[in-house]
Amino acid sequence: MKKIKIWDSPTRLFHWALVINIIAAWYTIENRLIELHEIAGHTLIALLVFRVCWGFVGSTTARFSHFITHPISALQYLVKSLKLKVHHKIGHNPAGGWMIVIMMLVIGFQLISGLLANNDLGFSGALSDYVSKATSDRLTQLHGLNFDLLVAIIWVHLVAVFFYVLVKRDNLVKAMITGFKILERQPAFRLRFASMYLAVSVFLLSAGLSAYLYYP
Amino acid sequence: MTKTISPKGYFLVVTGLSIVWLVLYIQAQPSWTQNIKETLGLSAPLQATDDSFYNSRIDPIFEKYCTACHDGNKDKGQLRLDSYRHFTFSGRSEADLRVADNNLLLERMRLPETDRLAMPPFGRERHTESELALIELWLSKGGSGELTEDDFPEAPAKAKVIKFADIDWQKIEKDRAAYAKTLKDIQQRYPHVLHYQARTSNLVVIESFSITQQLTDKTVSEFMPLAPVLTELHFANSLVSDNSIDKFLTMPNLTVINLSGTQITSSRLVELLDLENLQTVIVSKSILTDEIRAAFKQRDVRLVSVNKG
Ligand code: HEC
Ligand code: HEM
Repeated sequence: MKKIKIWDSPTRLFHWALVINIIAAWYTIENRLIELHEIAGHTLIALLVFRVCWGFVGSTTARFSHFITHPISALQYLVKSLKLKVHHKIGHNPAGGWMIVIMMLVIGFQLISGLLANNDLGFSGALSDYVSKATSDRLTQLHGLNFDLLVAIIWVHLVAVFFYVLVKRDNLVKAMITGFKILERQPAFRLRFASMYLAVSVFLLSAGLSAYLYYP
Repeated sequence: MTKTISPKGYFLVVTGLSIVWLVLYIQAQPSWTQNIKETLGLSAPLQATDDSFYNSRIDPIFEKYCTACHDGNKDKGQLRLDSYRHFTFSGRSEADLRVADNNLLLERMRLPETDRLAMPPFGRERHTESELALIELWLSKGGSGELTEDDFPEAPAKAKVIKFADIDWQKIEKDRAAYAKTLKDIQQRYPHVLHYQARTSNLVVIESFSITQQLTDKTVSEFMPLAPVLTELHFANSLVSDNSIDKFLTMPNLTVINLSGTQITSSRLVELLDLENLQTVIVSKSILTDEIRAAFKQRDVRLVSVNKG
């Protein structure tokens, strides 16, 4: 039995910050706190941009190249996994990898539509001046609908995670908090972890972009 | 933590939870359940009756201040106020808006206009106190879609709204085009004599007031290019004579002609009755005979006699 580091801290921080900010975006709009909603939204922009960049330059398990597989093999994995015939242990499994991509797209659309949205009460998203009022109105509606889609995807995500936790006895939640997993043996390939300096620089750039959009 | 759950058991629980979630979601969409009930014939169509107090008095208030944001186009807060049916379905909060106590709609309309939650939001045209009182009155009797005006004797009478038909300026412009140039030319020759009957009309009125002593049968000939659009001729005290009668008869839109104090005689006056649209003829009393009066009476054209000459 070996304790192996799977997730680097930037990826873990990203994950939980994403959770907190999605909840914050929902809570604020539910209570008509549009200014705070916008802040949550722009925080999410910084997070998502960071994560996409990290998918190219980050640690092994964070990279798209590590977890994007052929869709067919992802489906095959899904079927086998449900029958408990395979157990992927390091990083995102092939089916989960695609879920990450879909989530990023849906969150990305939520952010872009939010930037172009308005609330008819004098607030409008940072980029809404670039489209007509009618388009902005339409995107505001889609922003609301896309949120329902996001909730549905989050549900699927939770169902999958707890399938691992409860059925496969692999506590993914704990791994996403600590970064470590207990494995029987050393992974066949070496996991490389990117430097903290790189993570901080990439995040500062992402946050800069988001802030640039926020401050007119 | 040692006993593992079987995939089957796990997905049974997941399915159960999904169904609960789905049911809650559908319950939050009262329009769906109502539509289903109506399709299955379990419920009569939910709508206000034509003569209901709602339709005559409440709906116009919502129409005026609320539907810009609360209709099928844009259901802000998931609330539609464009019909009684949708009013009943309420909004995101799922509050029953038909109940007068703690009514969310009333509460938000009562807020000071600058309040963050005020409805209509700050900056929009705001309802009056009496409109609010009317909604309160309606809700105090159950927010019904069936009660009629008779059930609300205490409601102040409905203000009469006079509605003007929208003016189609393009059409007027088009109708005028055919004679616009001719009119302009003649207007230049005779300033302040010819003008359109109204801003919305293509028909022309001639007021000879400023040229009475120069206005002869010959002058009438000069107006003839406009014959199809002439509608009123005010030729009182001019030098016009019976020779112009034939010209008047070529003016299909002529409605009013004032020939008092002119050289017109009784001999051809009744011929004017051939004009389809003629309504009023004004002449000197001295030329009128009983026969003429009778003829005008029969055609129902007003004959006005003026004491002069
Ligand atoms: C400028 C657009 C606008 C106009 C006009 C407007 N509203 Fe709203 N209304 C909103 C928005 C946006 C919301 C959702 C956010 C909120 O609840 O504040 C809302 C929400 C509401 C809600 C809460 C719905 C729920 O179930 O949570 C009520 C009730 C309401 N409006 C009533 C009215 C009434 C009554 C009028 C007319 C007197 C009106 N509104 C006019 C924009 C508008
Ligand atoms: C992933 C991040 C986001 C989430 C989860 C989210 C979620 C939501 C939700 C649930 C609504 C209510 C929609 C409705 O009433 O139908 C909403 C409304 C809104 N959001 Fe976001 N949002 C996000 C990001 C943003 C961003 C980045 C902006 C732009 C700065 C933004 C701007 C708005 C606006 C203007 C509204 C008002 C819509 C209305 O009044 O109808 N959102 N958002």
